[in-house]
Amino acid sequence: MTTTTTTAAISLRGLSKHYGAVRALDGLDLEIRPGEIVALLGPNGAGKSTAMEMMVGLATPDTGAVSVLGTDPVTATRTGLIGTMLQAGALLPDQSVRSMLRMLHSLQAHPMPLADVIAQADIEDLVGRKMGALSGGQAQRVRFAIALLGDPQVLLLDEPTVGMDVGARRAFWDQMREVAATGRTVVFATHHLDEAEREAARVIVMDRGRVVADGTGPEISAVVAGRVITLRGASPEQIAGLPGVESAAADETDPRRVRALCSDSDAALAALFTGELAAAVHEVLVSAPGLEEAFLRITDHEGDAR
Amino acid sequence: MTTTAATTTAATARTTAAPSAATRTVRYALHTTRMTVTNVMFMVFTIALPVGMYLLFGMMFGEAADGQARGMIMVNMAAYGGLGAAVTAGTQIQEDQRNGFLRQLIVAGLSPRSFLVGSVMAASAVILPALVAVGVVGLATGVEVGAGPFLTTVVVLWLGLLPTILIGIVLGMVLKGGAAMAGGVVTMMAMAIFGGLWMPLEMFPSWMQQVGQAMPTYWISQLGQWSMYDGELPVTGLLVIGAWTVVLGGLCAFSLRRAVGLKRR
Repeated sequence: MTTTTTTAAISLRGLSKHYGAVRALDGLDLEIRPGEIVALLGPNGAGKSTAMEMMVGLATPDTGAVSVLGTDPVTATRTGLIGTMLQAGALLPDQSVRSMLRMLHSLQAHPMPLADVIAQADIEDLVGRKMGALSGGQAQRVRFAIALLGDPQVLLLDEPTVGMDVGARRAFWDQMREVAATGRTVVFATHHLDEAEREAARVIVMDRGRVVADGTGPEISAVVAGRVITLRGASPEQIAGLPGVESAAADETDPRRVRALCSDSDAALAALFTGELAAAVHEVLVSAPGLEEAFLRITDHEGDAR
Repeated sequence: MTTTAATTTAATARTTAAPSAATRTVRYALHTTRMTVTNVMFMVFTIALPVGMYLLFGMMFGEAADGQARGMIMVNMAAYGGLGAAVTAGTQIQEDQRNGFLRQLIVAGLSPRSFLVGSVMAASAVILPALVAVGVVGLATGVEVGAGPFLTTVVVLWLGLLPTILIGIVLGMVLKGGAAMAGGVVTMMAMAIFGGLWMPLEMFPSWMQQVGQAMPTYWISQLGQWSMYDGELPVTGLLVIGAWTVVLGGLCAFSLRRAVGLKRR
């Protein structure tokens, strides 16, 4: 057993960053402990990528401090303490996967043997291919391999499963779990609530450059998920009056449908089918809201919804 | 495979044992050189064009000045070939990184400065084949020069071309995509013409001659002539080339700082 340490894997304190008039980060505070698997969840523009860029020293905050395993991000990057899978990180199209991996491998401070990297990222079938000939999902696997090259203690993955189909996604997370099981700290950004809930022990929800929720997957799902009921044959006012319904309005894409956001969809359905509307309503659907909609529930910017 | 506990001591140990910035720079330069040299089109264009032009001009004007004209055509075409390779390599290397690969290199542990130095080293390496090819064809087709002066000339041309590499890199950082390539070609032509590499500068109107005397290419050619056929060392040339190198080096460093932060993908 090694000595336990209070050094955070990643510590962000009061980070602010403006890009022109755009506020990317707005006083972001975050502490991630060694060995944690953390999902950064948030809509586009929430500041996830900017926060990750600061963790590896690609961006510098206007104010605030970043530390990675007790050192600064640039040192952490140069010494291979932190490995990164950049979002859509550029790959040189004319080169083979092997040649590019070799070059990046030679730059690492303490590289993991290349054969191990290839096995762990499951890219044996890709090493002979030209980078430009890879599909989106295959390119993501190569980017994952690049993140592993330095044998990092902290692994940052910015939207790792973008461009992957369902099968590839599942295979990717299987690989990732094996890599994480060796005690690494893993931080990944995602748009997908289900992915965050399933793969991370801790989910941090970001919006507008701040942390708006931080908890276990089930805790976050309980807050953000809720249920949406859509139906025909009743007015929004009638539906809004049901128990367990937070709000109801005509559906944007089909005005004759009513769309109701529920805090307790079971109670709402029970009341619906035992009350006077039971005979009138039809085509009743219950679904989970999209992430964007879910965010409205916890980020209270309904007032300026675009 | 071992897993290290995330302690500060581990962090310190890693910091001290890492390969030096110089080692990483050299590794990056070697890889980039290998990639450029194995690019067949690049090599054909940068070698065939100046060799072809040397043969053409040599046939037309080579006998003038007791055959010294042939030697000067060789120097000028070698300089032109090196210029072409330098500008092309600069824009090409830079273009590859503009699309975000530089960020990939930085998170792999290469510092922006190492990237810049490595790029210059790689471009310096890939201009040598063009210089040597024109020189060897020159020797084979009747240029009379001793081994010493010949080698000195190759080295003088090679070193003198440094600012032209920096021009390529700056163009690559400032211009985008097709514009960088087009900008490279235009710059290369302008520097070749105003530097008197294709036709002697004395054939041009005086304003062009004045512009030409501020060009590094003109002085590269003069220095080549000096090392081939002796005469007085053109000190002005050293100053002009040095000034271009310093200014362009500063521009490179400045553009690089912007390039790192802003390019998302």
